[in-house]
Amino acid sequence: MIKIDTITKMFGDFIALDSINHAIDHGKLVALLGPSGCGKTTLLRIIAGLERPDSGSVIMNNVDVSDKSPKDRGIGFVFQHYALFNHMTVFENTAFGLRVKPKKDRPDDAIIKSKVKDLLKLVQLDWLADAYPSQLSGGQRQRVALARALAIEPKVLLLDEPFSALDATVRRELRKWIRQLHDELHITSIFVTHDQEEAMEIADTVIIMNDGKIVQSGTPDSVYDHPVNSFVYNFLGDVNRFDGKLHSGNFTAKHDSGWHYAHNDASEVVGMIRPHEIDISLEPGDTFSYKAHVTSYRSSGPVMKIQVQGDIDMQMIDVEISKSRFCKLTIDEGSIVYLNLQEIRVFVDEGAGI
Amino acid sequence: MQKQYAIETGDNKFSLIVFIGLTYFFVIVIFILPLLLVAQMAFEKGFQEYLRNIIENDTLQSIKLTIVTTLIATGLNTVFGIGAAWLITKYSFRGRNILLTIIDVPFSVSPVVSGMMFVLLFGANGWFGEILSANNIKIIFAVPGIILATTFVTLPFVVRELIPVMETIGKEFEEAAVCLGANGWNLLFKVTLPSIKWGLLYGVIICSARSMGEFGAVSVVSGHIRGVTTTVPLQVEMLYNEYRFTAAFSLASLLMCIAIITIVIKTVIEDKKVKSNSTNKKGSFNDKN
Repeated sequence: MIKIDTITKMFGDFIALDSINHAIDHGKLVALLGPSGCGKTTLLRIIAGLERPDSGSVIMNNVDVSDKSPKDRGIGFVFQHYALFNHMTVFENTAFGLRVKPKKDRPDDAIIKSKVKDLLKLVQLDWLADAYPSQLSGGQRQRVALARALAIEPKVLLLDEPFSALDATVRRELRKWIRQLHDELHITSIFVTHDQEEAMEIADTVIIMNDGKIVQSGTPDSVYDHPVNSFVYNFLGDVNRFDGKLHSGNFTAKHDSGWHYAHNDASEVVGMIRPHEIDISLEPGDTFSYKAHVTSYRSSGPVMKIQVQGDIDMQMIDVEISKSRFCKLTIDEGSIVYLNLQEIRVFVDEGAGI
Repeated sequence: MQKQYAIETGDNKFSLIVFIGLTYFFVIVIFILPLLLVAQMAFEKGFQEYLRNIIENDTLQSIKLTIVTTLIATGLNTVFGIGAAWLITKYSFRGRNILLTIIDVPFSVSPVVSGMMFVLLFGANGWFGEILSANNIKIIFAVPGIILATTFVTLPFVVRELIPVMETIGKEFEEAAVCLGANGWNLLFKVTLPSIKWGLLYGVIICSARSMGEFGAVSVVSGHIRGVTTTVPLQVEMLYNEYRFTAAFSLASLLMCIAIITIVIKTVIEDKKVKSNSTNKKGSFNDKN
């Protein structure tokens, strides 16, 4: 288990991490998710020992490692841009961690050889053992970097935006593969990402950060279904946003558009709803109460993305419906439509400004 | 190669020919002709005489002194260069910019002034003059002074070459090595040095070429003691002043040869440097997932 105990880190006047506390369970694949500049990479580097916190401590398996150097923490680190040694072959890169061990701990050459071979087989690159990094594709390089990090049998694997330098197809394949690898090896792994889809898809636990603080953490489902504030809700997918007020349990958007939402009273609130949670109809009805007209639409894979503008408040709203439903509705630009906004969530918080 | 159409079309053709002609004219008048003349003067009295001029005792001594000075000065500057470049590129500390500026001082100060600085410090009437003479240590008008002056004048070459190289490489390789358990020694010899080797070699070559040819600073601190404190450039000057032109030019031709060899090595290394910097391009193996 890794415990992060009130860690604070400043860069000049900028607060990168603001007294962070968290515990990460053994054997989990954890995503540190957040927008750029939220402190997630700094946190990862502090866990690795590549950065020193201004205060607070890192505890691994009940041992305070705050004053230990990276090599004494039992970690493997995978860098965003691979950081492979260009003057060494794939084999030598992978063997590096074993070869630099102090003499008494260093395994025999034969053992190193067989171990590196096994590792390269594990990352499916044994056929490239004699190649140099410059001859590999991005995905291959990242897998070599992974094999190299695993060679020293780390207790924790730390990955800094491991997929972000790869193109979309390779990225998807590699992240699926990493998930499989994790299921095989069960090494506690923490990876940093700004891509919510990536985090939701492969992590056991997602830790969402913003402005140097942990905003929420939990399983991908729990953070998606129960966001603690508007920032999390906004960060995990597309949203339509309505500023408004609460009056006796009813949400009223600033520009009154005649629909309501039950919640405790508060003066300044924000209502949010995802495009796919909005239903659309050509006829007004009990729930279809928000009148708007279609300004544009385009298809995107299996769904239609429709943009409408509210007739009273003039707000632009994105709506997403399936293609088959779109065909039944016979909508065109300028059509008058009625929206069902019943699934709107109201957040009473300050984190809305993202 | 992509052709530069803008220059080769129409009206520009004439001016292009003029400029190319002018360039060649200057290269020939300012570089090639003098070089040929030096060679001609050196061999004026035949190869036998040339050889005799070179192996003359004082001249041989000056060659020896130059080699020793160059080895020590370049060695010191290499160690200093790696250390300083590493410090400047990997850490941000108070006084970093001042250090960067100070490193350039030998470039901007006239070598004669550099030599005089050392006379003021270590000369008979200098700051440390009394202590030195009391302990019977001679620096000015002796070999140590020559080495000091040469080291000072050539100090920026290796650092200046390494700073941009290390900046492009960045911190990540070393961080990766540290995470994998490398100690400082492993880091230096297995990661840092191999990745900067071409830049380093380039700096070392330039530094040693400059050390061999240094005249101004060395002239001030040397005292021109024949066969003891004369380096090759000083010996050339002394021979010339004694109207022994053939001998002077024979020795000068030696410096010239070293210069030409340096340029050739430099060109080869520069080519390697460019190649090793571009290894981040897409590879030739296909991604087989």
